Amino acid sequence: MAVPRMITFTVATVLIVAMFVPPLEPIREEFSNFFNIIAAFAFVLGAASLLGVHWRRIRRRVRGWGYSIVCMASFLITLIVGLLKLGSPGGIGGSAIAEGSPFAWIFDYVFTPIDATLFSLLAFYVASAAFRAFRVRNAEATIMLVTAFLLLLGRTFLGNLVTAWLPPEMEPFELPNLVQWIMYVPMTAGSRAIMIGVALGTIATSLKIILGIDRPYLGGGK
Amino acid sequence: MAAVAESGASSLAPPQEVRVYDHPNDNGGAIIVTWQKSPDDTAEHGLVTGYTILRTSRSGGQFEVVGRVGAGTIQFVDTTAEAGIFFYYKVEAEAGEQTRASPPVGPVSSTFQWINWNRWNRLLLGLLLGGAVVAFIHIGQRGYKFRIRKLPGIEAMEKAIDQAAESGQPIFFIPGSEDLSDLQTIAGLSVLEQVSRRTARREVDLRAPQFHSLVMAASDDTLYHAYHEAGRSSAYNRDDVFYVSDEQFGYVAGVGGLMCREQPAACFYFGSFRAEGLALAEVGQTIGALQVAGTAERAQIPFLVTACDHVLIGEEMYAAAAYLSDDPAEVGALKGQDFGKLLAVGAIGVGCLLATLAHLVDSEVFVMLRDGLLSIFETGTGR
Repeated sequence: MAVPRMITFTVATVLIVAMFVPPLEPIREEFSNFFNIIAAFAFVLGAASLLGVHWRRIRRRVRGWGYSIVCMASFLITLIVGLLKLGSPGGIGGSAIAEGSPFAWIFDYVFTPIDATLFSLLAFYVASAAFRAFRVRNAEATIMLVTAFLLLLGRTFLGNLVTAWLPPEMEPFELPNLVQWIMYVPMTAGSRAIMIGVALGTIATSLKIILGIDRPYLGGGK
Repeated sequence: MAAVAESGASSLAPPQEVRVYDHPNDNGGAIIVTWQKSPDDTAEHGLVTGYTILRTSRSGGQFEVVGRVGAGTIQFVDTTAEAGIFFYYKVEAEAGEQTRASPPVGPVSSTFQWINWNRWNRLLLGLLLGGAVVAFIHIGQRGYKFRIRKLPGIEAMEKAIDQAAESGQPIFFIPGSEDLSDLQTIAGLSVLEQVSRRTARREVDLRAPQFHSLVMAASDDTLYHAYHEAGRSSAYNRDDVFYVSDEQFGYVAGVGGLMCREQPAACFYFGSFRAEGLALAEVGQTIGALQVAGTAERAQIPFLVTACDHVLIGEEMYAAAAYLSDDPAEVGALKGQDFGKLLAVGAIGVGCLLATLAHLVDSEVFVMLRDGLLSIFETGTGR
């Protein structure tokens, strides 16, 4: 473990020093490029894992093995069609995503609609999550419900009308002003508190990694 | 770069007092050009529509356009100036078809500086906070027992593992959707290390579906080490850590389906999440799994709070592994963070006081002190 720890320490130290020494700044970009190159090679590991796991699921007939057939077939068909550019107007020398190519067809008429469908499901997830969150169970949930109601109402035209009758000396209590206050004062304060905590956590975690106290990137272990 | 010739007779006034100088605190390659607005670039005489910045490397040579800015602007940074080469500049006021240039100024060249003094405050704060963390780690390693408050989320994780051991159901661990270059992912892997040690000891199946191949490799190693340390190497199953997809909703579909089929006793989400966080947590909620999440993504925290039983917010997520491991050095690092919090609270309090006094009392001292304190925490966005 000594060599990976040494590499981690050296690279991290150089990157930190580069923050304050301008001639070292290009090195940061170089390291980022190195990471991207390694990550690109690691894609092979992912593909091997996907095929291996699903193949074993099918072979052992584990629960839901039928889905593994669909997954493997989809992966292999897309890979072969894209890699060999089957049916592409420009042939093997042309672009795999050229208009009219089977690969582009798979992307436009299979992948994109499925992806959009799953994305659309988020609307229902948000609704069910909001329903649970806004159920009045305790004081905190009540505050959240009232605040959310005010924010939603205050962002609409109706919200402006609701408090428009208030006299000028009560202007801060007009709903749009109240909403702005909620956004700028309590919400920003909470958000900044989280930001400060995250920054401190980032510093402490980084130092633990640099000093070799915590090394999850090597599979942990002491 | 297109060469530009100045138009002939013009009543337009040129920009005044053009100055050029090397951009400080950088690696070379940038020159700052400043000027005073043309007398025709005012609220009353709003003729000027913009300024064109021109450059040449030879005295008396053909000028080329290096940039354009709108009316009212008085500065331009030329980031295309090769270091070590001398340049001459002029600034041309534009008003429709009419143009009027200032006299050329220069020569000027850009050079690199060894130290970026713009970041002195980051260095100071980094040394202070980093020094505190290292000092507390050292104290912890020397055997001092720090006291830390309990986190309900961490206790729930321990209980969930016990419940899973009794019911025979698996546990799912989702390490977020970012790659190994994201510190949240690293923090998530630290939690996975501690969770997998417990599941290995309690003979609980742990599934860790992956978004990225590199994270998968690290997670796989983590699980292997955990089983090995627990003396159960033969029980290690390489199919427990597996790649699903690096497409957001492909991942949701794959993992969501598995959750529905395998009915885990608990789902732990630790790392950086986007929309997939809510989608997966809602599936977990539907199947009745106990859910604990930890993330530093502020935008996702509200969604996870609504969908999960416990959420470790921001710094708590980074601290989770220390809580679970109870390692003196890791707990020491937590105390270093606490010192940082103390510093932040103190600075906010003093800052509020100084800002109030600067507003109420007619004294330059408070304004100076307030601005001085602000400069320590101001990070800026410049080069």
